[in-house]
Amino acid sequence: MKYLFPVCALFSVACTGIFDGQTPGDQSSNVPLTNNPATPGGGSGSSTTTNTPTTTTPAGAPFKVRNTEPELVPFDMRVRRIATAIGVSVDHAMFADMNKNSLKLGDYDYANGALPDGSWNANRIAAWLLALKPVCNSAEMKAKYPTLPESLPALVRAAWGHVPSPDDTTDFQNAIAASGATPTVNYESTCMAVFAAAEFVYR
Amino acid sequence: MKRAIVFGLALVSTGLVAACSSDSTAPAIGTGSPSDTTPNTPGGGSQVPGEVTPQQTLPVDSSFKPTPQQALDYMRYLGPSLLGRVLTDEEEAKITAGAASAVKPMVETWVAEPGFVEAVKSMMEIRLGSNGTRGKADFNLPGYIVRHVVKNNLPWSNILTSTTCYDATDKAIACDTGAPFTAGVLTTRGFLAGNEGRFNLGRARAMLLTFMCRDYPVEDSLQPYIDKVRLKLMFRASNASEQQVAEVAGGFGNGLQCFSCHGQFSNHAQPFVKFDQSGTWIADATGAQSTTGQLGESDRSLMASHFDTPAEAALEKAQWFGSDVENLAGGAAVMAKHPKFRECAVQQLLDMGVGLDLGFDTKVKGLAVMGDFLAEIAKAVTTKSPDPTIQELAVATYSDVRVMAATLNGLKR
Repeated sequence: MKYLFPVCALFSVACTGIFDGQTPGDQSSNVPLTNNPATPGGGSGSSTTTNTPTTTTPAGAPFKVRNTEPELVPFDMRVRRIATAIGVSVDHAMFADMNKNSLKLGDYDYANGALPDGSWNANRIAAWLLALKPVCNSAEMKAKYPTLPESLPALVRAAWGHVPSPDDTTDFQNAIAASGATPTVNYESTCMAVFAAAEFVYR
Repeated sequence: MKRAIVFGLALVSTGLVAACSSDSTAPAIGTGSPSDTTPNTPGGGSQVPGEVTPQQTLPVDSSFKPTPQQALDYMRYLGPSLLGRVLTDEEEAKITAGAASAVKPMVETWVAEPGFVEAVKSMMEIRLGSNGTRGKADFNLPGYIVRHVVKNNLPWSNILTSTTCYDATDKAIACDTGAPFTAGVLTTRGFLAGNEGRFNLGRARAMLLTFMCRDYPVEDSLQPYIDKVRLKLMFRASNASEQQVAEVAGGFGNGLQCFSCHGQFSNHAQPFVKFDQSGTWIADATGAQSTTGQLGESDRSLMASHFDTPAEAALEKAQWFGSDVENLAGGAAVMAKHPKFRECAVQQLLDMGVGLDLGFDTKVKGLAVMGDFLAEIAKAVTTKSPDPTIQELAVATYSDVRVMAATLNGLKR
C-alpha cells in the first residue's frame, strides 16, 4: 500500500492532464462558458470520456456541445457523487480532509485569488488518493460495500453510473490477484481506484 | 517492491488509464445499441461500455423522436451535471419505458433536488467570480442569494432584485455594501470587489456577460450608444482620425476605436461609480480621475467615470438597455425584466447541463446558443409564467427535443 501513492505519481507522469490529440498549447481551446477564463465549466461529470471531437454540426443546430476533450468534474460535484454513492451527506466527517485540501483538488476561492482548476496532474491525483483514504476506510463505506472486490459491481454502478464491463472486472481481478496484498489493502485500493478512475473524475 | 508497483499501477490504472489513452473503455454516450434498453442494475444487465454503434447525425428540430436508448444516453449525461449523482435504477427504468415522454417529468423532479440548487449556486459563483472570505468580507453572499432563490422556487429575477442577503444558514441579513439600495447579487462586496477595476469596466462586463450573455460591443438595439459629447474626450473616437488624446492615439487600450465599446461601457459602468475597490458604497464619491493614480482610477480606492462633466460623473444615473436608471438597483431591475435576461438564463442552464462549445458561431458576441432558439424557449416559459423560476426555465430547456438531439450529436464519437 505504501507504494501506491508514488506509483500513482509515476503513472501520472504520463498523464498530466494533456490528452490524446491535444497539444500543450491546445488546452485553452476548451474554455468553458464563464467570465473567468481559467475556470472549468459549470457542469459536472457523468461517465463519458470522449476523446475524439466531432466536427459535424447539422444545419439549424442551435448550439454545439463542448466535446473536444474530457473535463475534470468540479470538486464539489466529485464530493457530492462520492457522498451519494456511499449514502452519506456531503458534510460528513469523512470528507474533512477533502474539504481541507479542496484547493489542491481543483476547487475555487475567488476571495483569495484561487480560480477553478480543471487540470489533473500527478500532484492532484496523489492528493485526491490521499483524501480518499478516510472515505474508503469509513464505517459507512464498509457498511454499504462490505467487501471489495466482491461488491465492485454495486460500487461501480453507484459511482460511475453503469456496471463495470467484463474488461473492467477482469482488470481489477488480475491486479488484485497479482498483488498478493491483504484483504484490507485490496479493499482500500479498489475503493480508491473506483473514485479516482477517469470514469469518475472526468466528464 | 516490484510486485507492489505492479499492484498499484494495475489497480489504479484500471481506472486511470482511460484518462491517458484514446483506447478508452469509457461508455460512449449516444452510441449504445438501439436495442439495449435494459436499465443498469448492479450485477448485470446494462449497457456494455465501449460498444459503439455507428450513428447518424440526428435532426435538430421538433420532429426528433428519441429512442429509449437515446433518451437514456441524454439523461445519463445530463443528470450528474445537474444533480451530482448518477441515475438510479428506477430512473433508468422509467426512461427506458417512456423514452422522450419520461424526460420532462423526471427533470421536474430533478430540479427540486438539493444537488440542483448547489449546481446553480456554483455556476453563478464562477460567473460572478465570488466565493470565500477575505478579511471581514464574505464573498459567499452572491452564492447564498442564488441558493435562497433556487431553494425557495423564487423567480430567477430575484437574484437581481433581492432586497436582502443571506448567511450560510440561509438566514436573512443585511447586504454589506452600505449602499442605500439593493440589487441582489450586484450589491454585494463579493461581486463588486471580485470584479473591480479601472473605469469599473470589470464590473460592467461581468454584469453583461452573466445576465445578458453579451460582450462588448453589444448590438445597439439592445444597448443604445451614448451621445459622444458626454464622454471624456479619449472615448469619443470611433477611428484614428477622431482620436484627439495623444496618449491614446499611441495605441493605448484597444487602440483607436474607443467609442465602439466605451460608448456602451460608459452607461453600464456609471452606476458602479460610488462603490470602492472593496465594494463599499461611498456617498460622496465624485467619479473624478485621480491626479496621482492610473488612468481610470479615482481617489480613495474608487474608479473614474467615463463622463466628461463633473456633475454627471458624480451621479449614479445612467441608461441601461434603453431605460434611464437612477442607480445600480434601477439597472438591475431593468435587466431582471428584460427578455434577454431570461434567454441568458437558458444559455447558462445549457452550459451547466451539457457544456457549450464557445466556438459555435452565433454572430453575437457572448452568445454560444442561437439567439432565436433561446428566445423561443424563454418566451414559451414566460407565456405561462411571466417571471419564471430557474426551475421552470430548466424544465423547458432540458426537455426540449432539439436540446436532446444537439446534445446527442455532440456526444457521439
